[in-house]
Amino acid sequence: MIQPQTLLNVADNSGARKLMCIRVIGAAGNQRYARIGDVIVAVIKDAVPQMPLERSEVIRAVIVRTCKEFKCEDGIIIRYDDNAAVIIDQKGNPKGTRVFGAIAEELRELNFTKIVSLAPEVL
Amino acid sequence: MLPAMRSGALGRWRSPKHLLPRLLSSSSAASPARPQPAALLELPEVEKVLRDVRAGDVRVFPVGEGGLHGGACADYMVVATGRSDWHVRNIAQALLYKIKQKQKGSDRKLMPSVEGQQGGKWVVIDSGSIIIHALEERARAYYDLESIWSKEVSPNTSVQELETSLVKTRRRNLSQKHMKSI
Repeated sequence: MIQPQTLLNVADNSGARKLMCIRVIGAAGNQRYARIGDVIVAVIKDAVPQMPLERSEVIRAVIVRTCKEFKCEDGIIIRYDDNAAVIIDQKGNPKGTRVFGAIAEELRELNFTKIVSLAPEVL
Repeated sequence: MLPAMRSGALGRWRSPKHLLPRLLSSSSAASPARPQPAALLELPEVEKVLRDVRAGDVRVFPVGEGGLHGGACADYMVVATGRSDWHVRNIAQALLYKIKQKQKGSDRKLMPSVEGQQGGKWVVIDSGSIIIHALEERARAYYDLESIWSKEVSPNTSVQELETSLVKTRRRNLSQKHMKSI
């Protein structure tokens, strides 16, 4: 359940450490929360020094882990310990070259195969 | 026939997860609407198409059993390099055309999911058991996909690390003071 003002961790080596969601792409009308596989607009709250991304930069990101439980098609429920996102550009290419931590297999069905193929572990 | 083929193909993907509901329900209604990976492309065909469109530096990584992601993702990863954005898009087009030609005459055509077709820096064709990545030269050097998939994942070391991290060790008393005798 990611909404504007939510703080997220970054699950790649792009150089950002903390993101704050400022908009959920596709949320219109009544309020909608973002879940795994949704794209958000976020602002970088904390960044590693000497890296291309800087603090207070506005970027797009895909949510890959949520504390709110996520129900798979086959009945499995996945719940992570943190909210995490992977930074992408406007065309959907990931900004970093490696993704850390476990990634849900549903991202592949949602057309984020690039992120899945960079990930070390797929659930 | 169709459910049987589907279950066989899905079993290779995510066998433990998908097998149970399939056995319980025993009907094809619960099967998700995914393309049939086995029927879409074979590895020799992919290599032939990539040779025909002159994709450079084609490498195949078998990531099936016990490989990347524990074999849950796909059987083979194919990486190819294009000289320009245009060439990368052409590689993807040629593969899609091949899939279309292969299914000529059938009632419904199944197409794989394609990602990054507009950009042209990195196009992924996900045909189930084979995932084909076509990258531009600079993008290939940037992402360095070979080092992820060619890395040998040895389970022994990870288990040892886990054991060392789980074992609790008592801190040694390094203080110079003498213990008070009770």
